[in-house]
Amino acid sequence: MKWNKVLVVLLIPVAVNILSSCCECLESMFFDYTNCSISVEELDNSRLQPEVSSNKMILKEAFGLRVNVERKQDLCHQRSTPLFVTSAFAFSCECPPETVFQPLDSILTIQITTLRDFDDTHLSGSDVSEYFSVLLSTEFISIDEFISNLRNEVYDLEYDILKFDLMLMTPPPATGAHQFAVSLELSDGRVLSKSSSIIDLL
Amino acid sequence: MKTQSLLLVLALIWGVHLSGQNNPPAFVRWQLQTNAGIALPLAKLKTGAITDLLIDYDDQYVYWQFITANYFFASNWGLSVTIQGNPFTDPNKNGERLLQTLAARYEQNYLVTSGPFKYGEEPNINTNIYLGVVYRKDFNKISLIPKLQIGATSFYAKRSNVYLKEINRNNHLQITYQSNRASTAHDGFTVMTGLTLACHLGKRFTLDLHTQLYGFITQFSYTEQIRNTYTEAIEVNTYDYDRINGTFSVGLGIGYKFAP
Repeated sequence: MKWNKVLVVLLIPVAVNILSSCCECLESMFFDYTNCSISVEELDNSRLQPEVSSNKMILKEAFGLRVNVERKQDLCHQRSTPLFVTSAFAFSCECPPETVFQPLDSILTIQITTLRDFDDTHLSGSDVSEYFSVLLSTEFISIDEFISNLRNEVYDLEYDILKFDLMLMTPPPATGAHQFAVSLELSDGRVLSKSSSIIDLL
Repeated sequence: MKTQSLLLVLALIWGVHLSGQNNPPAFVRWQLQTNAGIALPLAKLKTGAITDLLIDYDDQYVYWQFITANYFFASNWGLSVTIQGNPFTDPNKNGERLLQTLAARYEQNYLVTSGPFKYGEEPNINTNIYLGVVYRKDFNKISLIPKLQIGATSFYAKRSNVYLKEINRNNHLQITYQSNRASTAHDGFTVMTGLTLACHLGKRFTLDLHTQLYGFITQFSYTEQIRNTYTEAIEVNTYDYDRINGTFSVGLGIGYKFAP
């Protein structure tokens, strides 16, 4: 019995050390961001991976649009002060991220509109979103699936730029000049829209 | 009481028998051997299927029997255990050959976007264990030592994924290779017979010429699943490995006989 007590006393510093090391994390700093504008680039996917094309003639079976969503940081929360621990260093425990950017608005829909006659049933001004799919590395997902999987909370605005590739999976039957507009409907009611350049789909 | 008395008598007899064994046996009880040589296929496991490149086994290899320990319980008969290493081709080289094979198959229509993952730097060697009986016939300068052993020929049949991108189109293909076993580790039941010609080099050492025949059974198959990542169209090909594989080996080594 006596030895058990000694053992417990000896283990107390170890337990305190473990607990204290787990507490020595920096508190996360919270910021807000907002989706400000979008840009659209034409993609040539004829080789290994989609590349932004300066050439305005692209094979229709290898065409895509890259959408870049510009986000603006908006600081709104002050840093919270830790209650017990004021250590400046985080140790090996699973600490939360140092900065968290939370969205003030989120993307509700993504729509692609053809600005020229796409085929007999999709004339200028028609919604052709169904002909596009989002390419994630080597897998394709629908636009709706992409929106539902979108991670809105990001940890670094500079590197977590929202950029996605919409690949044209059902090309128009005929070759010719085409132009598309991409519209993002946001939860705060705004619609971000941008048109592509006119490209010749070969 | 009768039973107890009988057990006591038996125990005494056994004790007397043990204590009476002061004289060492007139024959060598323990013998250790090591040898290395070349193994040539008689019936191949790999017959040219693309999935051969995912199996960590070579039909022809330079083997090394790390150790064979023979324990003779009688002057001629004994038990034998062998631990043998069979090297195989670097899996990373086979991974490159897999990509080359796929590139050749799809000619100029597809490009590989990502291939089999890189394997570590572990030694490319399978370790196999065989157990069995051994017979020894001593002549003036040589001994003939035939043996019959059973064991397992072990190897890994790996899984792999390769992604291909169609040139001039948005299409991607995912090609998955997987055996029908839950584990990638395979053990083929093996029967091995061997004959060793041991030339006596002095009292303890021997120069050994080993010839061995191995037969082992494999029962598995590989599936090659080709999936279009957009249309989800899937094509499946099966490569069967249900067969009996045979190998003949010849090697040279040394042996050591413990004092009788």
